[in-house]
Amino acid sequence: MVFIQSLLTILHPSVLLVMIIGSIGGIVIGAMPGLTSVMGVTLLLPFTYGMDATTGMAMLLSISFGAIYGGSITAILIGTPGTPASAATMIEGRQFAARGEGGRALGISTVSSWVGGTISAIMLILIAPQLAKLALKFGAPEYCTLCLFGLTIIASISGKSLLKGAIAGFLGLLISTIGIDPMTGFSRFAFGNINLYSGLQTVPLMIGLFAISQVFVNLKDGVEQNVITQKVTSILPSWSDLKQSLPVAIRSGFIGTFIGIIPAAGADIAAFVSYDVAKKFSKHPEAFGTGCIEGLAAPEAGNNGDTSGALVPMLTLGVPGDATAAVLVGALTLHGLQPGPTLFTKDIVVVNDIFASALIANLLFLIFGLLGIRLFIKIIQIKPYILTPIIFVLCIIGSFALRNNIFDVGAMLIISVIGYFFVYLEIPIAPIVLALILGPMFESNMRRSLLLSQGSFTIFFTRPISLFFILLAVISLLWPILRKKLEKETGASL
Amino acid sequence: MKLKHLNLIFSGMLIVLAGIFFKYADTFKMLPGQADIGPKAFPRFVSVVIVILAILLIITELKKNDQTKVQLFNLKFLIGLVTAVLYFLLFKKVGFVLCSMVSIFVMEVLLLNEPFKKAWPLVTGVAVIVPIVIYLVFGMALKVPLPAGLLSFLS
Repeated sequence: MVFIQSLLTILHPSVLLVMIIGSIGGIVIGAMPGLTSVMGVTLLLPFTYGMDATTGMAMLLSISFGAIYGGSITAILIGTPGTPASAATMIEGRQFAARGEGGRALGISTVSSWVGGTISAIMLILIAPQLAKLALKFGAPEYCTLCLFGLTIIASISGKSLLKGAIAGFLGLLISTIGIDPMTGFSRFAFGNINLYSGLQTVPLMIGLFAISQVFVNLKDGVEQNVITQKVTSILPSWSDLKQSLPVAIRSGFIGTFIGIIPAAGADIAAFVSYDVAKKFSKHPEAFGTGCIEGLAAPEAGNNGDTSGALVPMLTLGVPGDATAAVLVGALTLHGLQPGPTLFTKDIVVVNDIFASALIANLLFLIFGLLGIRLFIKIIQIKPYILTPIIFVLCIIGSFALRNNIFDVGAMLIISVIGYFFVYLEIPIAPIVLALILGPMFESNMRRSLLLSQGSFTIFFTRPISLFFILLAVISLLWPILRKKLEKETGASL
Repeated sequence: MKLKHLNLIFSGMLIVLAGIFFKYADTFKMLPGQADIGPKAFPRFVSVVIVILAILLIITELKKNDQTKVQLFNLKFLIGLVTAVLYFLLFKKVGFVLCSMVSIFVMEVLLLNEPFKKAWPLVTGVAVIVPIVIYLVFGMALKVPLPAGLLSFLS
């Protein structure tokens, strides 16, 4: 079988070595706040020029899968997401670390990431063309209502106060309108500043809100209280932890894969939706936010589930499922390959090689992630008065490196001061980030849909997939009430 | 400052911000055929909702009888903030390495929970070595050009 042949190709030392380097590099890049998976893949893409297509793609996949996983390390241990995809992991992860259970959290997150990623890879292999046909049916109304559903998740990540969560979400939506109007092409809310023409960059914003604001809090309050010894009894999660996390991880892996297949919906959305679904179906939803296993496993499986799902439309249609997949399109063309239906006929060997490397890349970060747990914890236990300033400098670089523009650093600092006040105001940050990501997609697709329907909102209700998402959004908002009613009537807990 | 007052000030600022965005939307250029849902619609809708939410926040805060106080500033925070601002202002002129060395040193001292006499070799060592290492890794391996500033005579 061609696939077995490809598996043997990938396991050859020359390819495997490159993948190992890619995986470790990816994990490190993902862990550093400010460096994203997309950045890592983009920066290392030119290096693959000298390699053959199989090796090049294998390395890039290792980097990207490792990076999506790597973000969880800092999300858990430092409370700062290493990549946007780990923002949801941070919600539960930092609670584990606060209890000294960072090692346990890392083990659960690593295994869950592997489960999600492997499910995604297997789905990729089994049903790539069929899944792509479904994604083809997505038009502007479907994207709009998908984003609407995504935005209702804000309620789930608001923490204690729904009102403050809503304020955060709408603030995020407002900020997301800064930049080029998707339909007219003119700039909005640039206030005359050329650096704002294309909007506020998400990465410096997140760095400011999550990381630097925390640096300021640390400076003010000191970091004695942050020095919590993380005990590590074994690197593999205990059997009871596995029993709790695996079902959630499997479900989230499928959710992540599905979201990955939808072009432009990325690992961050997959993580949040998985978290939300896990909370809604959990027997103990009140535990979410306090450091619960399900809440940790779900987003990690979801974000890694997105990784191979994003390859489905990329390989079958040439339409990337997320930003990283977009860079991989570039990698394929660099090697003279044309993503799309012809790839499955002319270059079926390369396609199978990619399938095989997806499976192996997931295994690699599992191995290195688990092996590295003690090392990661040691790094975090570097004296806090040394670690915090280093994080500060890395964050500055992270903001600067994006556009080589000092404005982004300045914006990041201003936002970090705002973020500092938000800590005291108890305004949650996660809804801001979610709204920033979904806002532009929601608005542009809504306006596009209304153009198609010539101003009529019925277009969202007459198309079945769109209607499905609207129903999901309504259920999502009413879920807390629905759940209580159902529990009362059935007399049992759901 | 009382937490209640902080929340009230925040609500006020939200209303002002929303108002600015709402009014500024008037400057948006329109294309023909975009009359119904044009570039103004969504930002204005969001601004209105923010005002409503801010008013709700004011009402809930006034109803609560919460007297908790928060300490927003102290000297350490202010020094850290000034360091960060100076870092930003001098980044290009003075260069990444020198700015980072000074900032790291200052922040380490602010965060130090051991006697300086004992810790100063580590503190100084880290402040000097880490920026150089980062500069080399980013500049050479990852090809992210960081400003050399005053040290550009070295390259």
